[in-house]
Amino acid sequence: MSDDRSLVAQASQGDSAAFAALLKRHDDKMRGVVWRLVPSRSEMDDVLQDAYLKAWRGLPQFRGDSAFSSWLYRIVYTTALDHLKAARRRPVVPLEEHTAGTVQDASASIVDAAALRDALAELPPDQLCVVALVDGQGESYDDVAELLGISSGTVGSRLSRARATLRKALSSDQPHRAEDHS
Amino acid sequence: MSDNLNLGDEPLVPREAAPDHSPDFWAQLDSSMAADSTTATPRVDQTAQMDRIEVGAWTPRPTTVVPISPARRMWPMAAAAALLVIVGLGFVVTRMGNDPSTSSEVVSGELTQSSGDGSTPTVDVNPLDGPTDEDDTSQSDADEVAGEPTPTGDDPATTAVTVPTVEPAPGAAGDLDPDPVADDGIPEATGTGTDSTNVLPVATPVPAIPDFERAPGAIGDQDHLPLDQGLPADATFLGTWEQRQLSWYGVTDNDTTCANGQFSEIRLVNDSGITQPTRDPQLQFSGDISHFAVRSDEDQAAWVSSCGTQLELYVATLEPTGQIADLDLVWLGEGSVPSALVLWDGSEVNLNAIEPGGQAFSVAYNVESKLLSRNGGPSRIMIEAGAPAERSLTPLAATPDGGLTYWDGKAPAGTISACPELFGSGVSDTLWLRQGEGQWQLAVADEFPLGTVTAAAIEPGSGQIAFADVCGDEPGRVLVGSQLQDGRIIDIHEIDLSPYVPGFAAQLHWVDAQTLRIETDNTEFGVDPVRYDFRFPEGTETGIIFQLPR
Repeated sequence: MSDDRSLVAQASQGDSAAFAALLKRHDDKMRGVVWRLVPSRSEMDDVLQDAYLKAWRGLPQFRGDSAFSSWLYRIVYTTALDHLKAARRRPVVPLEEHTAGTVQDASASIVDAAALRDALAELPPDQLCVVALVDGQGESYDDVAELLGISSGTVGSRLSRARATLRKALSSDQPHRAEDHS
Repeated sequence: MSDNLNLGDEPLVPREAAPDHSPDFWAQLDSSMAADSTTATPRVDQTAQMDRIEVGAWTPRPTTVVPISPARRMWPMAAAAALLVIVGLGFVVTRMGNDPSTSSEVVSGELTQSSGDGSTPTVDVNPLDGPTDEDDTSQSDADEVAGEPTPTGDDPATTAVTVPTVEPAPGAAGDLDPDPVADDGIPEATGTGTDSTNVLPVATPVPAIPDFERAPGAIGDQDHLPLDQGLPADATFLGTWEQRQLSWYGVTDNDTTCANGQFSEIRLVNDSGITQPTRDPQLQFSGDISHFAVRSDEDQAAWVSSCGTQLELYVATLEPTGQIADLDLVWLGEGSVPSALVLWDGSEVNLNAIEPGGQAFSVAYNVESKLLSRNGGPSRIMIEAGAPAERSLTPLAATPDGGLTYWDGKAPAGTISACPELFGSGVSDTLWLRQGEGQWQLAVADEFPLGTVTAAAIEPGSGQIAFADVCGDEPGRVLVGSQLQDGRIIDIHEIDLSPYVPGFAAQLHWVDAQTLRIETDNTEFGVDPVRYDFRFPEGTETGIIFQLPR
């Protein structure tokens, strides 16, 4: 049975196939997080291309003290935030915008999805990951705990904090959205 | 925290699977990496790292145990005042060459901060920074590839094999206890506080807080670590056979799923530190192996293999070497893994868990009669009355015999929450008590608002129980109460740690009946875990808190 450490060791020697295998092992969770932050698949792919390339370049800095997945997640998260900052400077309307949830009113769903993305982008990275994976992807506490290198209890408390922060952010958005629609 | 009625803590993020990549994603990445490799080949460099965020040692004032009041303390104001002192005095202390790695500090008076390495402090961490801390985004320049997140010590993937858990031996706690009060005759604080700061050397590092003494069948700390390379880093400790000086570990093949029959296997580390299969050829299972319980007097073991909510209960006869002689799959069905508990009771092994629908159940298998019963076979009825409906339960603490276990779980609808943000929006978590016969109830005898309970520890001698909770964007609390005979908790007091704990207490451990060790998780504030010892002087409700070196 192979594990991350052996693949990391191979990748550190320049084995790009080993690195790709590592990425594929964790790619579903990374997609799950980035998908919560960007409005389209093409942007998700852009962010992950960028992040994975940075991880490849930064592999010498990975000491192995933490799980590879935790380290990779940090890179993905920061890359996604950089992408968001850049996107806000040049607003575009993606063709394949996705909406959150099943909402009858299409206009409301777009507003909600955008507001939710904004609120998510304001979360600290660890909270974002927990809420995106547990609530958004249905991952178990244990799986997320393994990804972040924390205990399941910590996952629970971060989830609680994240939900509270989101709830606060979205409720404070409510009047503005109402005004937008009036 | 304030008392509020909450009616439902529901996810705000809708469940939605991320789409697959575009078809050429991996090919494109591969070509980018290939192009990149022509200019720079990655290599292992043990020295090249980004600076870690460092925070100096906290040297807090004496604190007191005070009765809890519904309203939370005004700690933010106190923290803000303390921060001014931190910034000023931290630099002074740094210049004085104070090294927290070699000292323990008994503090009375004001809060001070020193840098960890004697150099200029690398970062000023504001404990008041909330979850939307700008630092998180200001550090987001991904071109500087992120430094490794600081391990919190809980991840079996990073600690299961390489980092042995240091558990103080019985009677040795005094040797490791950095309490300088008794040794040096410094008067224990009475809560009045002076401005003096005493810096006392500690010869030995303070051990990490071990996990609570879990019930038999719960997952414990690894005792026998391999000396060879026979276990991957993410191997999971399953259990130890003390009489044979060996431990079992679960290993999974992450390239497959738990539905695959070759997903997992059990390996043992013998008394020479050599990793071995549990049978030749190796036995393999679908599902994760957990809840490994040994019946050492009869050379038998039972465990759970789980895939999602599919549970399988295995019972095995063991060779003296720890290898598996005979194996029986005695039950399979659906249940929640986090809520499961496997216990031996004579010749009977019991699996207690909660069904996906929220109904608790018990399966009993008698290894001698080979009879299996579920929820009230002829000899045993273990409908778990009052069990929490939510399956997501986190075990926190147990009495040594497993008779009383404490869990964090969703509170019943209508429960008063300690978290203001849950007002009108949800059911928060609370502390649950499960008694030996499968009776569940709220652990706190009187109505006492709680948030998410993050840790608990029982002091068996005195019957005290400490537990910690946290609400959304508030600092966590540490609470201490007394156990009734049935396990419920009364006379709850709060240990006032404000403003020294911006995050929450992640682990609690009783060093002795008068000393509670508290490890805080401040990761979302960019602060490393900080450990404290809180001492309870006899005959008084005042206490004193010690900052422990990392």
